[in-house]
Amino acid sequence: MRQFCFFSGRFGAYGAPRELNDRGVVVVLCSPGKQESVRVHWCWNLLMDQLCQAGFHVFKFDYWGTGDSQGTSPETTIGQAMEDLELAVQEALDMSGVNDVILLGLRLGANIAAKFADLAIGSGAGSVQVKGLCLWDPLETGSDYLKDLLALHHRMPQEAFLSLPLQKLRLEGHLLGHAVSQKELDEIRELILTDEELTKLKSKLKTSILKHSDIPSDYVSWKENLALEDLIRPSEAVKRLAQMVAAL
Amino acid sequence: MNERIVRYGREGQNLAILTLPPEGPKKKGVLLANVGLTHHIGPFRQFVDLARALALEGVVSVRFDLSGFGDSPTGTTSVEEDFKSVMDKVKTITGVEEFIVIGNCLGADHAHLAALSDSRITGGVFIDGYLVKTIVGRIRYYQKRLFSLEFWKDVLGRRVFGTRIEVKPSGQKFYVRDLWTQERMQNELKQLANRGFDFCFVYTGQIQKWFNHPSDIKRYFPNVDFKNRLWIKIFKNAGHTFFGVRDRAFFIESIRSWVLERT
Repeated sequence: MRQFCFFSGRFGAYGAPRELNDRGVVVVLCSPGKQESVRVHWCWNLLMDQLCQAGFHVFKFDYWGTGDSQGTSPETTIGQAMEDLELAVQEALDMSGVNDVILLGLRLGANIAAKFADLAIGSGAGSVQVKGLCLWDPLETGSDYLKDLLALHHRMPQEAFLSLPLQKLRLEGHLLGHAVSQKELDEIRELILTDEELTKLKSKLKTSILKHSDIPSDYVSWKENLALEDLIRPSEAVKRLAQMVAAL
Repeated sequence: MNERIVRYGREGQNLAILTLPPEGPKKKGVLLANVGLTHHIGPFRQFVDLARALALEGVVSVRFDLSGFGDSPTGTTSVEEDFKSVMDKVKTITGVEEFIVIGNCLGADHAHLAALSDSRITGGVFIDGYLVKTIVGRIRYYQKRLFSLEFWKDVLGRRVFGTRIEVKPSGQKFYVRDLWTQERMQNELKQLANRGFDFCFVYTGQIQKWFNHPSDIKRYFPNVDFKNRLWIKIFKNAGHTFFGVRDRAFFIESIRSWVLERT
């Protein structure tokens, strides 16, 4: 049975490996940005099940100011998310009782995971042993990501609220339904993960990348307003991610 | 904020988060179940914000995933059994024995079923819950559209000048809300009203085709005597899930006030 916990005000869930095939590694799942993290909730559960079956310990968590964690939406920043991830890794190690960690991140979560792993290696690994990195649709640049989100945000009244012809949906003070601070926007804008940087990262750490566009049968749209509140259920991607993690 | 993880249901497999007030608690607690496929935090995290606002006023609340949704595994228990189990747990931990249920869309249908099956639930907030189909309501809806500048701009942009994007469905829909018959809703609302139930019907602008004026409730449910215990609130500028931050804050404040008056 899955175990749930609160650690330093953050909410987390832990899944143990099936009996007899414990690989001695915990996979920490790094969620994408705010609304996308709600969409991925079900998919994360499917992935947890697959990975537990494959012998991994798995831990997922909500960043500060998201999901069931304490804090409010404007308090979330990239710096805060890095701290959250550090605490989550520690909690995952404590709950699982193992020493090795694999980070698996989606979209913005992939960039946070890559940044965290890079820092952990750069500082001589410190107390955290990051064994591998699995990046699912990482963002090449934070500025392009924000441009896409803003475009979606401004198209929202026309595309998703067609039955509100008399009213104008209020768009100020939030981005796609979640309050954001200027600090968070500035930090996201600075994120860059080019092919060159990925190559460097791969030379230091076992890293796998899954681009969702490579799986046309498993359609997931991050750029449609009508899909904004749909949960994603990419079965083929979940299968491939589990295989990629096992190969790290 | 003092929040605790609670396991409920058969073998304690299902997940609930209990939000406890610093003092109290007041006599009635609040039940918040998942909204369709969106897990227990609610659309745009509105149930978390609401639970914490209520706790500051001394109200215990519990947000949870029904069997087969969110973080609760697929089980064999019914919606009604899950609600009963959650209420039993809350009573054991806090001593609270009466509840107000809050549900949105499919969650409103679940809230209605739970309220019918358990007299510990004495009030309910049903968001875009009871959809009414009256001729007057439809005429009112199309009349408004006919005289709406936004509507004609949309039609001209889409059909004539092609300056507006044609929206295609994402193809990701995989659950359908069954609409109940007028007769069923009327009979069941009557049962609740006879129990002295407190009703709060919340409607958003996005479903104005189905509800656009408070008078339609009396027109659609003529045999239900709500005994002055019905409060209707229309958020005409809000989307179905309260997408806008300001709309959502206004919604949370309205519900908080309504609940506080009844606890």
